[in-house]
Amino acid sequence: MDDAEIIELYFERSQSAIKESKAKYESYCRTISMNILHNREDTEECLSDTWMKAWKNIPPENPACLSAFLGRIARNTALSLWRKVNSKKRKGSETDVCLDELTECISENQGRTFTEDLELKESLNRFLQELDEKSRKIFMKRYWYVIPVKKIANEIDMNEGAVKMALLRTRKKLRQFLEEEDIYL
Amino acid sequence: MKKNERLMEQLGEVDDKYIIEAAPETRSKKGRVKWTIIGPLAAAAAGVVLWQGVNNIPDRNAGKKSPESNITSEQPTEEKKTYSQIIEFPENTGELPVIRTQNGETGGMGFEGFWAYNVSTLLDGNPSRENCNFTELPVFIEPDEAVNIYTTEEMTERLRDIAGQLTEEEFIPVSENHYGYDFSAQAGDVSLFMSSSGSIDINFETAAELPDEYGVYFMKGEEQALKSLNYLAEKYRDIIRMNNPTPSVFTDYDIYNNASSSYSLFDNSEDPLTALMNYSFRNVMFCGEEIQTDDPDKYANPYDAYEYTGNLTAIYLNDNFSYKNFAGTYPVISYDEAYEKLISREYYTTVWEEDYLPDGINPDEVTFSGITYKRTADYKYTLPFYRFLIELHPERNEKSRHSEGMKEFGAYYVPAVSPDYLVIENEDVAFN
Repeated sequence: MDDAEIIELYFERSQSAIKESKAKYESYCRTISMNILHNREDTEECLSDTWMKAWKNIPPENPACLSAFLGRIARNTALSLWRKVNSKKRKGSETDVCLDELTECISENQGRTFTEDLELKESLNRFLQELDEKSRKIFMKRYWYVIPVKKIANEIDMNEGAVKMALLRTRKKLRQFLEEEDIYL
Repeated sequence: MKKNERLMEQLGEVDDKYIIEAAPETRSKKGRVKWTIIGPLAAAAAGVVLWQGVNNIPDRNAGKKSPESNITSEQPTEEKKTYSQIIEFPENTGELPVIRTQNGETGGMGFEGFWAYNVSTLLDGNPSRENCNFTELPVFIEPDEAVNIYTTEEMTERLRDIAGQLTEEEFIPVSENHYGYDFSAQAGDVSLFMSSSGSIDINFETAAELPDEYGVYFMKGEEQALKSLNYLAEKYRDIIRMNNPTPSVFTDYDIYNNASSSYSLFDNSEDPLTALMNYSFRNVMFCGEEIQTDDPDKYANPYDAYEYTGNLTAIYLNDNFSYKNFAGTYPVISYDEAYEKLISREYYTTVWEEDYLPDGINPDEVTFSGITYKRTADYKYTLPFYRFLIELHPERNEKSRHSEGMKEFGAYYVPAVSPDYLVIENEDVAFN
């Protein structure tokens, strides 16, 4: 079933909308959730919430890209659940390591004005647009999908060291970009 | 929220094209038909509650002898190992604290509705359906610290034991990248993964063939499936370690009028509480091999693009229980009280009642499906609920895709814990 037909099921309030979404995107959403949560039980919980949120949001939402829409819900839900689990579970996890790495992209505010979410998002879009495709893919695989470095290296056929270097360079570029755009978190 | 967390969060909101461009390779379920739990059992099994190896590791708990298995076998009988079974909770010490929690979004299934010709196919063998005289039930809480039931050494031995039953190839622990599990190993073409809570995934890179009369199929009917489940329960008895493996069968229908069936095993018991705990938090699922033969988008019924070989590709031992998560044994309302609350509209549901139940509940169309454990919206507690299936009568002008006689059912939940001990906030939001 194509995405338009699945979305139509949501608008019809047919419960098949969930089943068809799962049939097509469960593997994708499970991968996103598992990468963040590292726990099968929590991942199943996250997936259940994902379908429910999709049901509640469509309509009025009418996503142009259903996979990205569902993937975004799964990611946000997983991050939210990850924050709720106890600190010992979080420490040293892949998600924790990604967050540590992203800290390198953040400058001190030094009294500057706090940037609103929308402006930050638009700035990140501009940053990603300026990157070359390979650097952008590696960056998104690491910090959007929370994929381990070794797995990224396998997926794009590079060695691990090269991936780490690419990420380091991109993080530095992001920091510089956000400073130039006067974006402060 | 910390700055790095905010950056991580806002990165999630970038344009779709960047998300899609970087989409990972997934451990796709294509190539596998999963006999999976959907509906109420999945909701219960998704709870964070972990199991303290009552059955998994011998020597942890002494148990009573179990009743004879209701799984019959055509294989010759011989002395079989029994595994510890009876669940016993410690006595409450001191006064029970009131549970304060929230409703709203939690581990539900979206709009929890089902199509079926008869509600009986939606009843998946929940043992509390027949035996529901509980006056108290355990409640579980997310622990402050991570709960590791098994050490690395214990996980190594458990997986080594499983591997030894499946192959003569060398057992090789994997040193890193356990794909979200706490331990993994390889033995020939068998991949094994285990979490410290006790759940185990066994994957066969080369699907295991079954004798001709058996097969792990998606839609070949309940009789064939139960026969095959019996066979698998016996063949893998010392891997799944159940004294009384009992099928849990659930069948509903999709928009193409195809039966969608779920089959799993849980360890039944003469002790009602043990049976309910096993049903709620432990089960075994078998995955069958599915081969895509064509592009699903070409077909009105996408399942026509797949062929099922009947071979076995994976065994999932789900284990979601731990005494360390135990918060206390709480008084519960009776079934009659729960039913009265349901009729009085004191329930939680995801059903859009304006559309689906415009005339309210008809008592003749209510079916009790059993006690189900669900996690609260704040992820803090896992609580028991009385679960009911109610026949729906949608008013909307739906394009009819179903054949004559197809009915629609919705799930409704009444909290089992006595209101003297349970405070749920945000009462106007449906508890999912």
